[in-house]
Amino acid sequence: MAKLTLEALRKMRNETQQAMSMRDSSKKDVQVIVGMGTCGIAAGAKDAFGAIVDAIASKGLTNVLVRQTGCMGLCHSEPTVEVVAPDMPAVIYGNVNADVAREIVETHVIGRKLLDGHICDRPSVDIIANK
Amino acid sequence: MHATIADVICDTVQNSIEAGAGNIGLTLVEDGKMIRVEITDDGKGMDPETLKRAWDPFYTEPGKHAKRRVGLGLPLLRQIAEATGGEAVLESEKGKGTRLAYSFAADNVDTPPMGDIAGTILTLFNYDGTFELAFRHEAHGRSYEITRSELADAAGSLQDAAGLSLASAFLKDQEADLKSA
Repeated sequence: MAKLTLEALRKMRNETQQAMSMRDSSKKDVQVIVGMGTCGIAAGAKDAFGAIVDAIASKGLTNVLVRQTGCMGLCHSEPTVEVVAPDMPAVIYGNVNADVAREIVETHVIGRKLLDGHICDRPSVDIIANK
Repeated sequence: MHATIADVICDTVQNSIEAGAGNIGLTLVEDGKMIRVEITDDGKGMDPETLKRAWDPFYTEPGKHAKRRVGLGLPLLRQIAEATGGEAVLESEKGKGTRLAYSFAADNVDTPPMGDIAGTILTLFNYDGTFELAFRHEAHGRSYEITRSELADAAGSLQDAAGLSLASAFLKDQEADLKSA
């Protein structure tokens, strides 16, 4: 099979954009941030990252930014993933393998509910601000 | 420390990104006998004293990690590389940039498995910032080269899941082609 070329990639991108043009694709109001420090990488953060990208792409979500950060100071619970969505508390999930990553996309990003069992921490800027 | 060479690559390229490099080169060569990695950058570089201390496990760059007193990455990398019959070399000039090269004997029992190179390059391309990262992978008589900017130009934003997904497909395809040789 011939290798995928950049030109073929551009064509696929254009087709995808056309398929998505029916949806509102301009507003990126959700951020999914993967902890990619040494601790996260060693614990499998790249698997979580890949699963998140695939899940978001397969669901056709156009409002989500996927980003990375360094160690969040929660090395005991790596891989860690933070989700920041409007009108929801920012949450850091811990022990996020590929399956949990897909659940986060399904439950938190799409379903707008917190995923029980993996909520690890949030240094709670909102709570701190309220004190 | 990391379980795979891909994880080591991820960590050591991060050092270049964190050093404020605008241009980073990453070369991975598998010639059957050795696995060689070379990373060059035009980041802030190190003075001779800092360069010397980079191999000290009880030294880390001040301010890089709050309260951390150790910097185990490079010392452990050198230990693993040398244990397999390879080496790790670090050259740097303050204000000019840094070159890190390391190698492992391909058939040594202690050489870590290669791991997910496509996923590693994808995560490195996804980092925030405007840096350029040029990656070349040569293996089994074949090779491919890709830069962060040309992949972003073809696939779209590398912080957007749609762009990342296309970029992932491209990188996986290139890696599969190398392995099929």
